[in-house]
Amino acid sequence: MPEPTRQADDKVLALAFYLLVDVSYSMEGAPLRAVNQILPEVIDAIEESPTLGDVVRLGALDFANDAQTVLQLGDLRNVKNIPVFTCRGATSYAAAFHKLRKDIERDMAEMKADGFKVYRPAVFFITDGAPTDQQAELDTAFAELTDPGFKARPNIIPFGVTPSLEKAVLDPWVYPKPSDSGKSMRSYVYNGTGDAATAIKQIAEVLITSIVASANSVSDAGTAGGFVPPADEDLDDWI
Amino acid sequence: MRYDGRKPPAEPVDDDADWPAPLDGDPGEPDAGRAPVVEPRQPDSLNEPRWHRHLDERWVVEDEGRQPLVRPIVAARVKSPPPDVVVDGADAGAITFRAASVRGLSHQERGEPRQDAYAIRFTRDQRWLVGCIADGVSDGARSHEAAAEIVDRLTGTLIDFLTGLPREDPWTDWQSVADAMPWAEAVDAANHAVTKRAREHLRRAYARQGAEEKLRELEESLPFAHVRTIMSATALVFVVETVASADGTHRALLANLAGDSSAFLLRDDEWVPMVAIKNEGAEIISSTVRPMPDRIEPHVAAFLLRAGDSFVVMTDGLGDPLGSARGTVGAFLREKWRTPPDVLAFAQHLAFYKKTFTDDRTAVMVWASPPRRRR
Repeated sequence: MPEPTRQADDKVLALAFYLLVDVSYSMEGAPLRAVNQILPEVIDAIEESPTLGDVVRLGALDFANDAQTVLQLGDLRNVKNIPVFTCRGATSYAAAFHKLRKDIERDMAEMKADGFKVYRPAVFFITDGAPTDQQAELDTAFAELTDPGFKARPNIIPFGVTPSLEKAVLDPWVYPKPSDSGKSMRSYVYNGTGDAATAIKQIAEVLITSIVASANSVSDAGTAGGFVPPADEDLDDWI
Repeated sequence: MRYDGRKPPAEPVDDDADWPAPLDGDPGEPDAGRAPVVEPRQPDSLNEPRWHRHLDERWVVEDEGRQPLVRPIVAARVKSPPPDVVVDGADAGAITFRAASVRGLSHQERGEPRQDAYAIRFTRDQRWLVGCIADGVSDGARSHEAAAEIVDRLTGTLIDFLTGLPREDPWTDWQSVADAMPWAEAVDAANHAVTKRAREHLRRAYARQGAEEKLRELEESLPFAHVRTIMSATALVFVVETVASADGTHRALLANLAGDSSAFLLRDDEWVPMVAIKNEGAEIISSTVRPMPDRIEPHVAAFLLRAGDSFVVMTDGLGDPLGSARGTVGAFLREKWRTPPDVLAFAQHLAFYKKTFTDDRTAVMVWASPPRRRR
């Protein structure tokens, strides 16, 4: 049995990103088609770079009345068939947060067992509607996901893909908050002239940019690096 | 796809807490059932060396991931980028040194220049060796220039001082000699040189923009904080006397002026950390986070190198995969660097593939009276 320090020294680094997508019926049509372009684009971008492929792990979940794992967190080069998001039901953020906590716990345990030094994951949370949950249930689910005792509590960046969605609806689900220790994240609501599909295409771009910047940060700064959130200048059409 | 190399939108200062720290937790056993598909993990035996040569001849420590697939791109953004690899080595007095700096795979892949630098200088009589390593901080697009200026100025100032040092100096306490070296002058010279470089860049940029007001302000003052947005670098300096004292030891010192470089003593075949290891307790000298230019009050650690000892200083590109030197990288380098390797082989050892560790790497190692090869 090797001593713990040897194992600590032999770890390799991993950055985990989750895509969490609203697949309620209002997303049907062009928005969902745009969502289904995200994974292929991200996979293409990562395949261009051997060093990105080594460090980045991507997973995807969807949610409506319930939430499901669409792509289990893993090495994108091992993805043979890119999964497809399909619509169903209402908009339960609570179901999404519950499932996310479970998936993150499972995935981080597996990564650590595989000898990775894992950074706290980042979640790109895409929705076009307000939650249909009871407030108390929703608050509980979010509190569990972002519990300070949960070491792998994720950075969460909500994206509202239609201008009709009020920012105040999304802001509670940003994590960490500006008041917390840790780099504060923010929410983004699309306010451009395009439709939801246009907005989603832009999210794919900022997701890739953020992945690349985070991977570079880890390359250049090692354990002092980490998740680099999207830059506001890349999101001119968003408030 | 835009590779913009964007970094955390803050100086890498005092805000470690702002960034998600790697999860620590109980290290688990590797699980063969969940091994990555692309590069299966080798069976885990403590007695088998876990390094080998890749088909392309480079060393692999444990798992190379996809690193052999990286195709280096010219650092075209920079007018005259530093060479991808520099390497030196020589004997002087009773010491042998090796030094190398290699451009990291991620910089090669992104067409960014090597941002690490080192300098090795001897006094004219070769009694003193002064070395410095620097790691340009990638927040600043010109940080490779800062690294080059810093290693040049710091070593230059100390060499001037040591050249004038009487051969039979009146001091008996080596620590007080070390403390009495012109640290403030050396730091000022490096800060000034970096600020001057940054000012030249800003002058050209403001002139292009026709920003008269900014041009005037620039000539009046340019704070270090502003310079660091354009270029900055870490710095670790060492000095070693090539001639042994009467008791057979070599006087030596380390000063970690800025940033997260590390240093290890190799004594009795064990790596002994000389600078605080990230996330660990052991230390001889502490590490400051903020890069130069900055106001610095150096903490200088004097020590004595015994015959058969060696020490190595390194930027975090090697320090991160080495960790506390108790893992496989530590075992690999102990085997390869127990005695001075061939100069070119030293650079090859430095540039090993290890999955996800892709930064520039720089190491300078000094051996005191190493056993000489006989054939």
